[in-house]
Amino acid sequence: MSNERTEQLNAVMARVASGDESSFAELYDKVAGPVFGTVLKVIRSRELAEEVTHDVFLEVWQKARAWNPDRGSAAAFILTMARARAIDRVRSEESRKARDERVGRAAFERPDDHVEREVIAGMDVLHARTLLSRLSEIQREVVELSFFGGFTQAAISERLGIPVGTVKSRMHSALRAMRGAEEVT
Amino acid sequence: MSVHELVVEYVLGELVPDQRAEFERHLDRCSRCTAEVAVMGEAMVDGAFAGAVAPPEQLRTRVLESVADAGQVATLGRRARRTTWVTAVAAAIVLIVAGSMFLARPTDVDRIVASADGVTVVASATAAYAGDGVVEVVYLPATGEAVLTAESLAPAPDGQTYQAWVIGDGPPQPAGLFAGGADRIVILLEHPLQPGEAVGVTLEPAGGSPAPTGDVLFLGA
Repeated sequence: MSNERTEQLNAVMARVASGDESSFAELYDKVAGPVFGTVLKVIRSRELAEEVTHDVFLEVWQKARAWNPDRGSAAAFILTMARARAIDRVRSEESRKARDERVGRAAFERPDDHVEREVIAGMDVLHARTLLSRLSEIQREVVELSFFGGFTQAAISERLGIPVGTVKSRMHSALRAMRGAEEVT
Repeated sequence: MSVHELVVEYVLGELVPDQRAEFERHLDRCSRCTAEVAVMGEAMVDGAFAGAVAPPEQLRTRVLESVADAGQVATLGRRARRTTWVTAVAAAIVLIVAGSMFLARPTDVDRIVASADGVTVVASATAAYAGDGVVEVVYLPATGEAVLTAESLAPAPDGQTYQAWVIGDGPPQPAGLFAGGADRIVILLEHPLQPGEAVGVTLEPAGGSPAPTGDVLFLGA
């Protein structure tokens, strides 16, 4: 499932990187949902999320030639950028401390129910369940908060009342487990 | 915290921009972290696809319009790092003004690196190089003028010098000598660099060589 998706996206990205503008629409159609979902979860404002998503795609186009397949798939290049830009945006609007408080509170207060409903409605439940089935309970918790809740690790630490280092090690092992990789100790 | 431990933060987009740039420099020379990033990046992608949300149709229109209006950043090497370069140049100019071994005139460095047409090439460390050094070149495709920056390079051993090479279709062309041993060294390349050509760095006997004799330590194309 995901290998085919990866290959297709890599192929489209390679055409985009060679300056083929007509392939960009195809790239957009393949990843706009995951990009918008990622950004929306972090930012929790539809308007800002649209703006950041726009900027991310523009940056993907402008920097397409910088994509290095040795370092990850086209999807990873784009989605890492999307998460980073969304988090940058939240940070640029608040001090680091205030941001962690706000992002940390978001799960309790549900500031934007509409966004929340949309995020849940957009979930590929079967896909999500398959992913999470490979994880232990404590791994699942951090992955859900990160991917489906849009929380940073610092915010997860605050929310769960556990040290950041613990969140990080759980996240690390969870990400490896999701890809079926052996944990390196 | 060891830089190796930043893989998860990097993949999850949680590093601040400076840390991110630094970690990407680290990735250029750490195959273990690169492999980790690839694995974890795919896990993150799986999560993002599972949590996709369809954006509004008008966003698609806006994005495609913007893309039609915008050019692409040309990169011969792996990626463009213009912002890093701007800070690098500020520091470089201070060093040049202060220093002896720096061959480049600040005006040339400034003009080339600040040019909107400048292309950045990251010369990646090869298996023959074990240190932490980073070598980058920025050049103007129109004129071939190029500036090489070497950062965190150990001093060249006694009786030896680092030498830059421009590698095109023919034999490698000598493009300048530098000593290492400072935080950041900047030279103007003495041979023009054109798109499609590579830049290499070797260690050579003092005074340089007409053709490379040492192992290629850095290579970017």
